[in-house]
Amino acid sequence: MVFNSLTFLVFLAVVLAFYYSPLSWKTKKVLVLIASYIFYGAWNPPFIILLWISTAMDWYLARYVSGAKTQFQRRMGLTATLVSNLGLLGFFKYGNFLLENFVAFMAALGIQYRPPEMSIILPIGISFYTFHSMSYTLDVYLGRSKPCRSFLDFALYVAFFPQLVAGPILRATDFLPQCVEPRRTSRDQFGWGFALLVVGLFEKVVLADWALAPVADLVYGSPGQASPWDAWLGTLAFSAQIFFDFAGYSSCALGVALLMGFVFKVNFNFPYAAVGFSDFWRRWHISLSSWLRDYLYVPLGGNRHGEARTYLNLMLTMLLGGLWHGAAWHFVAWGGLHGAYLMGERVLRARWGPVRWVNTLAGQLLLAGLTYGLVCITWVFFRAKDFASGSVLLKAMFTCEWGLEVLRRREAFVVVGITAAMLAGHWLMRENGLGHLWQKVPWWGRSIILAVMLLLVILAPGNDRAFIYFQF
Amino acid sequence: MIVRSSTSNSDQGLPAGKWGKVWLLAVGLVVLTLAGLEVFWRLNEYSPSVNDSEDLWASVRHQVAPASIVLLGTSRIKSNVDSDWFASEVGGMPPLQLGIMGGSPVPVLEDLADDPAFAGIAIVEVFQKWVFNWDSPEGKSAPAAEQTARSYLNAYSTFRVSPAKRWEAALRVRLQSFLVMANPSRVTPKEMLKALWQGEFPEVRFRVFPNRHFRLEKHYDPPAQPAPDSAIPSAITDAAFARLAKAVTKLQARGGRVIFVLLPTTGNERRGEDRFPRPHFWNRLGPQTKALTIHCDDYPELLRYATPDGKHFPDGEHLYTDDVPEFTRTFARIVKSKLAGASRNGVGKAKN
Repeated sequence: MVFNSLTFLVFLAVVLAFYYSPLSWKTKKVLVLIASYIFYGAWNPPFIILLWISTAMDWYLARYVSGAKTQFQRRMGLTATLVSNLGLLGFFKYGNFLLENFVAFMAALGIQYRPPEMSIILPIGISFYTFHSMSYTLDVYLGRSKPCRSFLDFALYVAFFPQLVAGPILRATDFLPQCVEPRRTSRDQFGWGFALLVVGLFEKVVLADWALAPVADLVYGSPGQASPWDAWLGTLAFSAQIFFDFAGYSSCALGVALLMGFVFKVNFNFPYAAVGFSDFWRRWHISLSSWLRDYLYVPLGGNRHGEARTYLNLMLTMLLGGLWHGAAWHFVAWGGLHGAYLMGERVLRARWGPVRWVNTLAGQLLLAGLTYGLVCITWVFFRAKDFASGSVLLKAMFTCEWGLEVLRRREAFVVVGITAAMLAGHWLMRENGLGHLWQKVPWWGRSIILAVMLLLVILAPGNDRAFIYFQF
Repeated sequence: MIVRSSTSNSDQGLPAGKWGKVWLLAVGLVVLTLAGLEVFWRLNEYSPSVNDSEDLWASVRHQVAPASIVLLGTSRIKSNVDSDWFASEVGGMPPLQLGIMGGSPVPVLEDLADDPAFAGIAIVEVFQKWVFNWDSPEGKSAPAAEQTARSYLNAYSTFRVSPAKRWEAALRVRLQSFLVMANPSRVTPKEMLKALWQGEFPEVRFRVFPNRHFRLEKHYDPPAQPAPDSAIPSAITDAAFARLAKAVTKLQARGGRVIFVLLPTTGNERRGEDRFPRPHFWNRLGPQTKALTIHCDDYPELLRYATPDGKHFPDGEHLYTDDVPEFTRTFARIVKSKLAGASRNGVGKAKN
C-alpha cells in the first residue's frame, strides 16, 4: 500500500492504536512486524516469501560469519550473503535485461537465439530490502557491529514498514539499538512526525503528481517535437518532480517512524543547493550514496591507491549506482554521467586547489547553479524511456530556437515558479534544515501551513501515480 | 573503520512546543473548510459521484463470475443501460458494467474470451468506428480507443493480485458515494475557485454510481462535428471481423453468449454510424461471428427515443436520466427474447 491512500490511513490508525495500548514492548514489536508484513503483502502476497528468505539468510549468515573460526569461513559467509541477495536482485530485476542483451549480443555474432518467454514480476522494494539486509551481514563481517541477539529485532529491522519499499536504506547500527528499550515518543516528536507526513504527502501528491508530472510527461512523450524551451522546461519539471516524489516519500517514512519513536537519518538534505557533485551526493538519497560509499567504493580501494584507481573506483561505483536504479542502459548512462562529473570535479580541485572566489556568496551561487544545471542534464537519461529518445531531447536542449512547441505558457509559468521556489528553499535550508526554519514559525502559522497543505492533498485531482522509486 | 555520518537525524532541530494546539487548529480548519465546501456544492445541486477510474473498472471486472452478464462498450452503454433496472426486468443479479468511456470494447471481449472462468453473457455495445477498427482522422481513432481499453486491462492485471488496490477501491467507492468532496476529480480546485469567485459552474455535470452507470445531470451542447465525406474501404474490416469471430467462437464454445448491440443515436452521432452501410458492416456481424445482434433500427420501441429534437438524447448519444429506466427495461426485454429465441436458457436464469 502507498502512503497517499485511504487504506494506509486506516492501517496507520490501527497500528498506532495498538502501539500506544498498554502492551509489553516485545508484543508491540511483534505487532509492528506483523503489520509490516501485511503492509508489504498487500501489494502481492506471495512475495512476502522473498522478504522472509532475505531475512532468514542474513540472520544465519551473520551469525555464521561472526562465529567463524577461519578467514576462509568468514569469506564463505560473505560470499554467501552477496550471492544470495544479489542473486535475488539479479534474477527479479535484471533477468529480462540480461536476457535481452544476451540475445542482442548473439544476434551481433550472427546467431539467432530465441529464449523462452519469461514474465518476471519485479517485487516492490527488492532493491531496498536486499541492500538493507546485506549491509547487516557486511557490517558483521567488517567488524562494525556484532550479530543481533534478537531475531525479532532483526526481522523488524528488515521489514519495518515505513522504510520497507522505498527507503531510506537503514543501517543496523542505527536501528537495532532503538529496538532494545521501549520507544518513548515525546509530544514534540509526535507532532513533528505528523507534520513530516503531511509535508511528504504535499510534496508527492500536489507538487510532484499534480503540478509537475503532466508537464514532464508531455515533453518526454514527444521528444522529437520539443523546442529547446520545451526540453528545458520539461527537464526542470522532472528534476523537481523526482525530488518532491522521492523526498516526499522519505519525509513520510521519517514522519511515520517518528510517530512510533523511531528516529531515521535524513535522506535528502536540500540537494539542489549543492555546490559541486561530491556535495550533491552527500545530499541526494543519502542512504544509498553512503551505502555505495561504505560497501562498494571504500572496499574497492576508495582514494587510497592513486588518482587513476580513484577515478576507476568512482566511475564503477556510479555506474553500478545507475544500474541499481533500473535494468536499462539509460540508467547506466545516468550513473556514468555522474561518475564523469565527480571525476571532473576531482581534476579541477587538484589542478586549481582552493580558489578564493569559490567561497564568496557569488561564487557559491554560481557553482550551485552550475551543479544544478548539470544534474538536470543527467535527469534526461533518467526520465527518457530509452537512450534514443533521451539523446533526441538532449540535442533539442542545445539548439537555437525560440518559443514553445509542446507546452503552453501557463505550464511554463508553473514549472518556473515551482522550480524557483524550490531552489530558493533549498538554498535557505541547506545548512540548518526544515526543522530549524519551522521553529521560527509561530504556532498558529504552523497550523495554517499544515491545514493548507492537507487541504490541497485532499482536493488535488488527477491520477494516482506510484512513487517513482517504487519501480526500483 | 569508522563510518562517517554525513546525515542528521529526523528529530534533530525538532521544532518544539504547542503541537497539540497546532494540530487542533489545523484539523479544525481542514474539517470546517471541507464541510463548508460540501454544503456549498450540495446547495448548488451537486450529488456525490464515484470517480470512474481504472481501479473502479478493475473492481467490477474482478466480480465477473462464470455465469455473469456483462455490459461492454463505450459511454453510451454506461449511460443508457442501468444494471439495476435491467435486473428488475429480467431477474437475477444485475449485469456488471464494463463499458469504458472512450475505450474500445474489443480488447475487453478478447480478455473475457481468454478467461476460462467466464461463460456468461457478454452484451457488446458497438461503436462501429472502433469495433471495425477504422483509423479515421476525425475524433478519437480506433487505435487510441484500443489503447484506452488496454490501459484498463493492465490496471486489472495489477488489481487482481493486489489486496491493497482492492481495499483502496472499496474504501473510495464508499466514501465517494456519500460525499461530493471525496471525489476531487468531480470538481477540481480551479473549478471550485471559479464557482466561488465568479459563480461559474462547470458546464457538464454527470454522476457516476458505484455500479459504474453514469447519468447526465445537466444538459450540455457539445460542439457539432461535421461528418466526413470519405467512404470507408470495406477491406479494412475483414481483419476486424476475423478478430471478433475468434473471440466470440472461443467464448461461445464453452457455453457463453455474445450479443452485439447498436444503440440508438441522433444527429451527428447517427450520421457517424450511417457511414458504415448496413449491408457491408452490421449485417455481416451475425453471420461471420455467429453472435446474436440487436440493431436499434429493427426495434421501434428503441428507435422511438431517437427523436431529432434532442428530447431524449441531448447530445445525440447519452440519454436523459428520466428516460434511462424505461429504456433499460425495454432493452432488457429485447435481450431476453433474443436469447430465448436462440434456444438457450433465459437471461433470468443467469446466476452470479
